[in-house]
Amino acid sequence: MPQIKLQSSDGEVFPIDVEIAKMSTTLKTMLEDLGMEDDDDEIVPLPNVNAAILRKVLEWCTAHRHDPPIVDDPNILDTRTNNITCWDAEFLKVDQGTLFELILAANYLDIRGLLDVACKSVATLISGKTPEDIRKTFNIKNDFTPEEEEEIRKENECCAEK
Amino acid sequence: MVHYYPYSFSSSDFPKYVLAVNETITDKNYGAWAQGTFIAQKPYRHPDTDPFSSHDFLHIEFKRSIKMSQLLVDPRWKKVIYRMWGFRRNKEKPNRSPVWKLLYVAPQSKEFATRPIKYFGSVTEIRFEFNRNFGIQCYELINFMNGELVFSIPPLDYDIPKNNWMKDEVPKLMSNMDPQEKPNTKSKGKNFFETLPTEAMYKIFNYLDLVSLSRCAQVNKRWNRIASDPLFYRDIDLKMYWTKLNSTTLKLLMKKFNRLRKLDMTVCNNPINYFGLFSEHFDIVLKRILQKSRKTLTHLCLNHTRFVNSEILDMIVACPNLQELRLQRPSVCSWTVDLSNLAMTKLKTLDVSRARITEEELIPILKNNPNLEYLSIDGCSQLGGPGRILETIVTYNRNLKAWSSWQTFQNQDNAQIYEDFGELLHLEELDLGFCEPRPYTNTCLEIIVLRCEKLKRLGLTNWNLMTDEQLLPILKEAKGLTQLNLAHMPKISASVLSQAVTSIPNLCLLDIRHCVGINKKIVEEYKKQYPNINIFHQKYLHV
Repeated sequence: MPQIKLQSSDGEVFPIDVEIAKMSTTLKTMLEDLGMEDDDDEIVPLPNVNAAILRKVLEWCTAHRHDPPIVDDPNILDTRTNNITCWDAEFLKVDQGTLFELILAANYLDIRGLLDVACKSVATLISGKTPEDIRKTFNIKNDFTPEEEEEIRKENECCAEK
Repeated sequence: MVHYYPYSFSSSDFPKYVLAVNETITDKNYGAWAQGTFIAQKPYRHPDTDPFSSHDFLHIEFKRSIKMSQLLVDPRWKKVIYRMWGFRRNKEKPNRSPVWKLLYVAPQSKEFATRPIKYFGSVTEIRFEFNRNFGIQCYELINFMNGELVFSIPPLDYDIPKNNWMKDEVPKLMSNMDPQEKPNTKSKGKNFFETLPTEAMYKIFNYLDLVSLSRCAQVNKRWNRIASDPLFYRDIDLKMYWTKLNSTTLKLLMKKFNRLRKLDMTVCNNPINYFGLFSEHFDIVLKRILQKSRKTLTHLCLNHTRFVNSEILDMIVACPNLQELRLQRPSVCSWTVDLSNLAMTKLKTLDVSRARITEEELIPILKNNPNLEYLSIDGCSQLGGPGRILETIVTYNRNLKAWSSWQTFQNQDNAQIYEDFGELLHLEELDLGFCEPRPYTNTCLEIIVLRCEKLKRLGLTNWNLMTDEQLLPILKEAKGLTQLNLAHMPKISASVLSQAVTSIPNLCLLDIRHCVGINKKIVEEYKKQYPNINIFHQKYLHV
């Protein structure tokens, strides 16, 4: 099994199978474009991902290496969040900081499956909460003036609770 | 939302009344059995993910506590009814915290039957929660209950659902189901959303339902900008909010519709006026929505609505990209469409069950839409005979895969007409319940099953003159069937049953209810011998 080496932002080097690296579309394109597939000694620097997160990402990729490719159904928007597998749910039981860093890393490396499931996980944290609860949970500052807030509250009464 | 009085039905009969419901309406669809067929509508948007914001429930309050000894959920409803809660409010001691008791949870396993719920003490309120994935059947259930029970009870007293219910009690009971959330110790005080690029925010918001989106829009300016993007409002399913929707909220929501593709407003009649005639100005708002989205709209579902009028019909038929149109039982008095507006050419699904549509209006629509796959004209009493419609379909809609005319042609006297179905080689589902030609003279059904090799679902409810000799040769040929409905055929005997189970290899549903010629004991034996086939015979619901 051919391998390549990934280097995290804090300098740690991870030797991994090319097969796993290719789950990242970013790495896949890079490897194919640069013809680096047979070159074992090349080190790929990943300046946006630290070692702790990279380790998590690689753990996910290893577990999901045999996943079928994701096919979108153009007819229905997939908004389901209740289809997170047990393994993923366990994997994503992390603090908010790690969860968001995983999203950033998955976004940067373009790992579709991981990005999907991490975003779903954040969505489940949002859903069912009132605006104030959301602000509290995620430490978000309310930058509306009271007048604006009232107006926006009225505009969004639609399906929200009363 | 509906308050029943205990004297309106005896308490021992109550569970039977509620759950053995809807024989006439759902006999046709078999509840969850309709999933995967053309009858079932694919949801336009996945339902809310938060189980506690569910509003598909029926809340029944009794004026005094009632005791129920045993209750069994009909297998057809086992997935549709998601949970049942019982509640006892002690009027003498109003300060005592109320207790909700979980009476029933839909079984997750594949077992067909549901376990009876044994003694659960006395209750003053019962709440049924419905699984929104089976939306349409929920509304059949609700309609049935409203029609059968409420209208018969003076004085009528109903209320809008109490929204506090879930907030107060359920989370305590169901806390183990809440999404796990770890305290963010080391990262306290930081807003991680600020680190996310906008595209990741879009990705996250994509997984939110309409309620969550409207709440997100109130968090701060950035969230407001993103959550108000029309991109999230292209596929809209409002049926789960039917108890809350009014024209003001609909207008506000409409502002966000920019590239609306799918709109489902099933039973979105204002709940206050649900039993009355008027839904406040929904027609005006809907007209504006249709004006705005005429070119982008591909799916429209307005089942059981009270605000569809001829002007709206005119606007609907003018939508050039419509692929699915479901208009079951609209309240519109007469179906008059200005056909000069007719611009629909891409229809695949047309369901006008129980609408007062006539041949003059239906046939031009059929001619205009060569790709039609599913046509349901159940109970459209204004259509004359099937002759002209079938003629049109055989000429113009040769890709038709499913036809349903349940209770439509009840005075059909020419069996030969049905031979035309044999021309539709893609036909997978055929429901001719209550459309028996009398007399049944020729062999039209044999021709159909021989020529339509893809036929999977055949409904012949109430062909009550059929005999063994007529039916047996048909069953011999109908090898591809999975669901077969022979209910209300008093003349057939057990040999039909034997033929059906032996010669149809993939049969999974056989309805022989009210076939009085078939002995119960024989049916029980066949049930044991063929556990894969769900045979409905007589009453299978015991209370």
